[in-house]
Amino acid sequence: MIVFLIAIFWLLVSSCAVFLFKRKGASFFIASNAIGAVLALVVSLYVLISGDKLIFNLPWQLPLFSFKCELDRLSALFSLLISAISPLLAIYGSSYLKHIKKEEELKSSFCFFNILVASMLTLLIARNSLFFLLAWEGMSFASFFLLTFESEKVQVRRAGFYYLLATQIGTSFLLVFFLLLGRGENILDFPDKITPISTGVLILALLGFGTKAGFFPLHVWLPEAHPAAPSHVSAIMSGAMIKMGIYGILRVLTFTEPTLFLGALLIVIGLITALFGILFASQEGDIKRCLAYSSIENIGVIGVGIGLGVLGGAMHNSLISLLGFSGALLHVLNHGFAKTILFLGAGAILQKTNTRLLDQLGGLFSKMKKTAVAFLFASLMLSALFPLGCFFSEFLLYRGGLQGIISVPQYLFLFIVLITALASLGTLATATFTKCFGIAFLGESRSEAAQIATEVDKKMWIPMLIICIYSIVLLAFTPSLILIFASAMPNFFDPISVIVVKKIMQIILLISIAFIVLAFILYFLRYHLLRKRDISFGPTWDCGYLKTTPKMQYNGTSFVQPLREIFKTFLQIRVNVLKPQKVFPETSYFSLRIADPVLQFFYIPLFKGVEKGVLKLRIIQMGKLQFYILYMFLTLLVLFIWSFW
Amino acid sequence: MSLLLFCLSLVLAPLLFGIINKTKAFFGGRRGRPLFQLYFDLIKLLKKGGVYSKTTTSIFRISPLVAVATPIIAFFFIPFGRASLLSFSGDFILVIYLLALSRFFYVLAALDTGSSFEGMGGSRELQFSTIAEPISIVSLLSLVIQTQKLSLSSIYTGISGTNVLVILFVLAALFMVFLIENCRIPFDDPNTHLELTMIHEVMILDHSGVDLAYLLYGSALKFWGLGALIVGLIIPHVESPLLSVIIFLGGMFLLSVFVGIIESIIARIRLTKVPHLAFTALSFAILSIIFQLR
Repeated sequence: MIVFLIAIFWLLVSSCAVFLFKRKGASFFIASNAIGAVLALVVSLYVLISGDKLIFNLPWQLPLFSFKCELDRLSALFSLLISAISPLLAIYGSSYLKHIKKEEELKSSFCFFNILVASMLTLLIARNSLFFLLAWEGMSFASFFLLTFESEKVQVRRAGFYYLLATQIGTSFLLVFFLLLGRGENILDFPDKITPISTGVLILALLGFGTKAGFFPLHVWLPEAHPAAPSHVSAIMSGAMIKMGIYGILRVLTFTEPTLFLGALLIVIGLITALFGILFASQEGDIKRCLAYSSIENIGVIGVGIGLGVLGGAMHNSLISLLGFSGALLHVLNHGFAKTILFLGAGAILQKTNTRLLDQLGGLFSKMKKTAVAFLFASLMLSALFPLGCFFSEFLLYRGGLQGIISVPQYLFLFIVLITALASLGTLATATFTKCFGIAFLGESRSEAAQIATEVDKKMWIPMLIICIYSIVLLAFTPSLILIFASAMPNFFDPISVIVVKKIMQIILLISIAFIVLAFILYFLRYHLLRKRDISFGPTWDCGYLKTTPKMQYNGTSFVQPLREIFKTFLQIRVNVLKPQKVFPETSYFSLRIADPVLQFFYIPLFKGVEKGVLKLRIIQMGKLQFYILYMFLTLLVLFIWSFW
Repeated sequence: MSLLLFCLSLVLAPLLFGIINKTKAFFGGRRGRPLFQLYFDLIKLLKKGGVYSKTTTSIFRISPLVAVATPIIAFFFIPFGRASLLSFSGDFILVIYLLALSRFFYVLAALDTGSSFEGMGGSRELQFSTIAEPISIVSLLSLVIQTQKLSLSSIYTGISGTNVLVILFVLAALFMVFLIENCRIPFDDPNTHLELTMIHEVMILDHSGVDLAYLLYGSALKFWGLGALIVGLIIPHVESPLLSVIIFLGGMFLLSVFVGIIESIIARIRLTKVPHLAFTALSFAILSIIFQLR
């Protein structure tokens, strides 16, 4: 445990120390991050494998605060994710940022990155409410400063403001939650055993953690913040930081009684979030916004898993519970890795082509092969396609739903909706990622910028490929992880179910290996057949049309047009079109805008309404000192009378 | 017995397309192509070299491999008649996701060529699958609820003696999914030679030689696999293993004849009406579940 705390302390110290280095700042940053992360990684692995709970208490009493730290398997899972990706992101970030600004201006970004990682790690081990909130706030502010790296741009400032607002609202919910949880005690430690918490208080926790995680309708900051941030920051935000919201919910669940209502609520919110997220992701033309909405979708899936787990606990069905939680936790890890790769890939594209719009890319596969391979791998993973990681986690959720249909026929409707919605998610995700990968990397380049793109620096593609390797390793260890997931949420643990679930995972893993072997056999068969034969190359079949241009290909917007037609009512589409009019057409244009409906129709009117109402209170602001002294006197008078009441 | 059926399926799958063509020829008063035409085509293609478009990348080369590997793996779990080679609870999810995997690579290969026709095919294919996949899941869910079993093998073994109405509706829904997935009339015309009207065929326009052989064989396997799910619902249960093989094969041939009849008497519906028809299938599937809730 001391090692873990040393790692955190080192990260905090080195974040300040990076300013001392005049020239080798980037190398120091990478080295310091790597040292801290590796230490944390080793400790996390130790806890995961051995199952020990590492405890560290400092007798440091302040009002409401105590320095109580504990690293159990639940925390270790999340700290594994963070410490595994953080040094790779540091390497990527130092190279990526160099192309945006000069060396001296990068130091604050390096500093805040280390602070972000340190605060996330602290968050995971904190077992006192105030300690937790301090780390939470540290994480929020560090990420805000990282986000607004290019603060000279208006959109970045605006995005940063949205993010700050959202995170502060979430934190205020958390503050109220923790105060109510403590019930007026002097020290707000996390409860050791299951304490009865009323549903209203739990809703507060869900709102607070849900804002960070990005559940519907609290997700509006995600699509704004991720495109504005530098790519490695988007990666750590999407891969690790929003999972802290999930961690918070799980931690609260370790000391609450599972109820049917809570489980059903989580499932419903999760499904709505997921469907909303993927629908908007499929329509987005900006890669990073698309990936942000996809993160919202995956958070929804994780939420469904947690809900399923809670439902299983409430019904005392340990198999459903285990399936739900394993699915959720496995998805946390898989999505963390996959989304990181995707954002790093998007950053590579942005660096080389200067555009995030899919409609201007194309043909990048032959030019950026390593980025493309990593991006394809991650796209396959996130479409939940066999044989990669997210298929396993979504399969666990399906299996949980199926088990619910068999064992708990009273809630048949809920499970049917769950499984059907998951199926729809799968198809929409396939559409989204074929669009993202296919339009960006395949075909011909649709613009000059994409034409001249080249592969990125090796400091940028090596991290991507290493995370791909992480995912494959995770895949191989998935059956063994089931036991770890089970002990992470001990109230829901039952050894028989663990064996059942583990067996299922092993079977699927074997089938995946069989599939890959079969694919290789077919490959060698073809290679053998074609070896001595004529292979010629020519242009694509163009139906005899002589002058095909790259602009005649399908682009991102047209590719998902059929889906747009089906889901017209849910997407508020603003079309700006002027069709070609006369015989010899002159200017014509077409543009499409899909705004986030929750932002457009709920939050912006809400805040405008609040602003209007608050402006009416301006009448008490006279500007004259005498009136303010009068107000103070009146307040004191009222308090005086009240205390004697 | 299951192993025999597995091997027979791998060998006999291309025969079904021959049966469909013969049926259509019969309706058209022609003699039509030979019954074994697809076999001749596959052998011819396997002897050829390759022509690749300069725009394409290695993704294009991977897609045919996936197109054959996925149905073969799915065949391990699909019950041909009664039992399948392997099964585990929830294996139908795996089968559906295998289909999704092959579709992913089909669409990527289509986009790889940089041709507008193929991009169009890809986008339409994704639209259809967005509707078709939930239908197949809901239909299979209905069967799960009916038989209270979780693997395809156990579902199809326990299907006899269940509610006829439910089976009828599931049959209707699954048959429509079958037609959509295999690009048959009325959703897609396998015989059209106009690129603008193609959906599935246009995505494989640029494949040639061994690649095309793989793709054609893969689609034949897919036809057989999805057909087995439908035939398994209606064939009677017999004790003798030899008789069950004969009945199953007979059912598959009859299914092909039926598809041929449909192709001969109905025209393809307008593209914009396809989602409507697909949603009808979805409502059949949902109705079949509702019939079981009492």
